[in-house]
Amino acid sequence: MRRLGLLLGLCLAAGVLVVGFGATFNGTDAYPDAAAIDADYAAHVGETAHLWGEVTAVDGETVVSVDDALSLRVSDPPPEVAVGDGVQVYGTLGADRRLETAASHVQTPTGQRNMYLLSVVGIGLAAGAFLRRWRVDAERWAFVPREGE
Amino acid sequence: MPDLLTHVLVAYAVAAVVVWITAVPDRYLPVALVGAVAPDAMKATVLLGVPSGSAFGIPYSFWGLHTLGGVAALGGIGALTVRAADRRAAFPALVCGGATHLLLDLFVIRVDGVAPPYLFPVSGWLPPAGNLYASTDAWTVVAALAVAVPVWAARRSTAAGSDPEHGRR
Repeated sequence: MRRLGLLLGLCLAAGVLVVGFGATFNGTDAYPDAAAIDADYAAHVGETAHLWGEVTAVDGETVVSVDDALSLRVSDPPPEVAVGDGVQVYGTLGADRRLETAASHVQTPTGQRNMYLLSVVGIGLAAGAFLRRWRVDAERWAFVPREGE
Repeated sequence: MPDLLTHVLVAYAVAAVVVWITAVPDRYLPVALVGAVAPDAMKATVLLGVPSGSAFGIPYSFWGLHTLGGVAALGGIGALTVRAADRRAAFPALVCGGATHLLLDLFVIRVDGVAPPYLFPVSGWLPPAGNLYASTDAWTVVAALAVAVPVWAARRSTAAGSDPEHGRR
């Protein structure tokens, strides 16, 4: 029972962290709220924004979309950017939905795919190393060291 | 974040040194590797498109688990999954692994020059971003391998030369 109580308490603490973090940082420079900017763009003109999005057009002007909510033209796109690239942009929200870019960084779809593949390998390595030394004890509902530990 | 393979390899090197210079039993080394993966459990919400927002008028952000507080909470939950006799040692092993994760994430490129508030809820401070690598940079794995493989080889040779249990304690 004590274990169950601790588990519930820790899950509650995790929930408090999730809500507390959202209440503190959602919509700030650290975690900008693209939907809020999109909903009332005029009110945000002149503000600094750091957005993570996807390049949706490069003809003429580069367009970056964020969470399918906010679509912005960027003033100074990264060189060799292509549609589908992930991009983080930092700058000032200008009139007519145009971001005056101060800095940007691009991640290609290939790079992102490789990151996920390497991450799957990492998860497998950690899980494999753990299960090599620990096993499930069904009676205790717990991981216990394997024989000889 | 760098990829999770980089995180696991760096945590391995750090945990191996800790096991080597302290009396921490070897079986907790892989526990630290699990701890190094744990902060990115919240990335499942990123893939689902719901990392932050509001529900029933209450703001939320699962990035709150990708912090020092999250590492402690997830470490506590993880420690409760092992037998009672091992929990007191499993918890710091999980937290140690999670701490290496946050430390590495400090150096990810952020074009605004500011890293997330990893010390939350202790502090809301936004540390300067290290801007050393992007999440998609593969060279970080090569660098981590260059550290982890010699450590792994040294552990193997030491264990083989010391006792037939290969250093298990």
